[in-house]
Amino acid sequence: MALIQGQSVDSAVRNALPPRNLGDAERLVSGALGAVVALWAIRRGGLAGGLATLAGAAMIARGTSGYCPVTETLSAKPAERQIARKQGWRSAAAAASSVTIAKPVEDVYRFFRDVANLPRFMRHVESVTVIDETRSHWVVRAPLGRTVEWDATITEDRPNERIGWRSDAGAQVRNIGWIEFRPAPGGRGTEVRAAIAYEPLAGQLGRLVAQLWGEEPGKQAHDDLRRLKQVLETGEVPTPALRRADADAAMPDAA
Amino acid sequence: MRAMIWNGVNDLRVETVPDPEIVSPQDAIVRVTMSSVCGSDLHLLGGYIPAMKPGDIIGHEFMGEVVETGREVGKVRKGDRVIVISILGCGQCEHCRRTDFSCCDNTNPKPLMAEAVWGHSPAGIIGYSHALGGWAGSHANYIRVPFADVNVFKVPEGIPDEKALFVSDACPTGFMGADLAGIQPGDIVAVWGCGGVGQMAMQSARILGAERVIAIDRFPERLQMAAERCGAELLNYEEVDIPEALTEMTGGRGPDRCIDCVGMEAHGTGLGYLYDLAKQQALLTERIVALREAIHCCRKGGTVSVMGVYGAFVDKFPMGAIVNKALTIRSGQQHGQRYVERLFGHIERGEMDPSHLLTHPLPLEEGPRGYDLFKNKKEGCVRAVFTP
Ligand SMILES: NC(=O)c1ccc[n+]([C@@H]2O[C@H](COP(=O)([O-])OP(=O)(O)OC[C@H]3O[C@@H](n4cnc5c(N)ncnc54)[C@H](O)[C@@H]3O)[C@@H](O)[C@H]2O)c1
Ligand SMILES: [Zn+2]
Ligand SMILES: [Zn+2]
Repeated sequence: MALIQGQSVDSAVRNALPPRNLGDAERLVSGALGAVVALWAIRRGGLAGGLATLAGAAMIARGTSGYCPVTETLSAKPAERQIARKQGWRSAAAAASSVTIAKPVEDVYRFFRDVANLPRFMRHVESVTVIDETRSHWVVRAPLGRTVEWDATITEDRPNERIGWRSDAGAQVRNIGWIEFRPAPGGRGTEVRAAIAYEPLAGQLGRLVAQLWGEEPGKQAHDDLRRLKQVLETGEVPTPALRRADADAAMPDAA
Repeated sequence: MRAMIWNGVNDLRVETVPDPEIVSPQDAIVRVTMSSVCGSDLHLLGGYIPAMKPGDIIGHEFMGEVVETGREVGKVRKGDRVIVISILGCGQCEHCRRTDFSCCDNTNPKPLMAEAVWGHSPAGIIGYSHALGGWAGSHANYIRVPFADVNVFKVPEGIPDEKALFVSDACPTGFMGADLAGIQPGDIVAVWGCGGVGQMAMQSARILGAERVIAIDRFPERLQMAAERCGAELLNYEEVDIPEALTEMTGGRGPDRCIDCVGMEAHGTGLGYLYDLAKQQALLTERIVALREAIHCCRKGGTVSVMGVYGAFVDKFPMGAIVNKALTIRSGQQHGQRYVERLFGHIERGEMDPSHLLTHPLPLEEGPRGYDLFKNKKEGCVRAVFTP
């Protein structure tokens, strides 16, 4: 299940990932029910259906990973508290995801290292302007039609292995992130793992609102990495739009 | 343009909608000359595959003429007479490179529901609901086909339209059913379902060396086609007990290879059928009468190849028979791109001929009637084919 990707990564982010807080029986029931609710909801369509879809999808996540995002949203995960403490933030929201891209590590690294490419696959990033070798200016779409901007610095750059970055002092939304590249077994290209953490605009409440608007960071990370894969493998983000105007309006919604 | 639109469960109408245009440089626009119904559409019409939205254009087995191509398209050109494989490949991902095109990673732009229900999303499919990408279907004057160099195939001169059309879906699906079954010389192959897919599986089984082919259905006209056009021996499940008959016909062994060309809307006679039907109405599980029977009848160590489509969950799945008889189960949406050129060859040499499937040529405007004929198997309808 991909809504919250659970595998991998270094210790801070490993801890940021869903802990198991459900019993086995509850997990089974939750999983089966979730799948049915998701099907039912999409059959019904409409707003009520849409909300039920969210609930259904969340229940599946809970059923398969033993992790319940619904209760979790109300209380920060331990690793998020840890990140917040270490970074000196009021609170933190963290997400991680991974994908395999059928291209050599060098190609994937080079594409990502040119940060001006990021808006081609990060749906909420409007633009990234290169300032110098390590610094860049980010403009990002936020919930409720707002944009937020900040300068960021690449803090770690190990060619073909790992890139880390953080926002500069004075950023509107303080954030850190990294991405790792590793050859996939069997000549299948590159395994990519990425993690981001940010300080929500208005603490936990802001995060709840953000989730209601479908800006949940775990899903975003998953969607963004899928689009990175699409761009690198096929040269585009495929869209079922019938006309150019509809395709240009936005990157396709994954739901 | 005119297009056949899904407006709700069992509510189709032909309406006027905007023409598609080239959106990506890898696209082709095809003017549709023939577009067929397929058993898979029935699962959509009946609401068994959710995620249809009012306004969706249906249809996915079709041919036509290329009228425009994006600047990166090199394999097909304006004016080419083509068929399209609607289970879309990108040609670049791990799965496409292995020729498992229906597992493509990149052609379903809306993968979240598929990931939630199946764990991973398969390829996007033209005319096949928003769970598989929301790509507009082919029952229309024009259609936009993405990754044209991977999914659009020029038809050789010598193959007439009524044969070429079915290389879009029924032929590669049937062929893949036989291919996955792993047929060996001397094998007896039983095929459940005598629709377009089942009949092409029978012709393919012969091509791949089956000694005998047994066809199972209940409609006499379809069974007759299976005998005359596919060289099959016949079993009508309303007249005989299938496990008993198959046991007898195979000297007690059971068929070596069993191919399910029926899918989730299987019809049946016994208690199991009523049980499945009741549960399906409650939207919990699907009807797997034919698949259960195939597993039950298959010889020890044999193969059951499942081309009939199932959407989510089935009930009373005979796992015990699979383990204790050491069966192999193979399945998949068709990887048509893998088979097209080979199938053109079989058709040119007269080894495969799907043209008799086209029982009802109709204008697009009569689309809803065409689906009524096909769904309810009226007037001997095997495939209604619309000309926009
Ligand atoms: N895997 C793929 O890529 C792919 C592609 C095309 C179609 N399909 C699927 O293949 C199946 C058949 O498609 P079609 O176009 O031939 O459909 P169709 O409706 O023309 O044929 C189905 C046939 O199955 C028969 N049948 C029903 N219950 C049966 C039973 N219990 N035993 C034996 N026969 C039974 C029906 O009488 C009918 O003749 C469908 O499920 C369709 O979705 C799969
Ligand atoms: Zn089909
Ligand atoms: Zn692909």
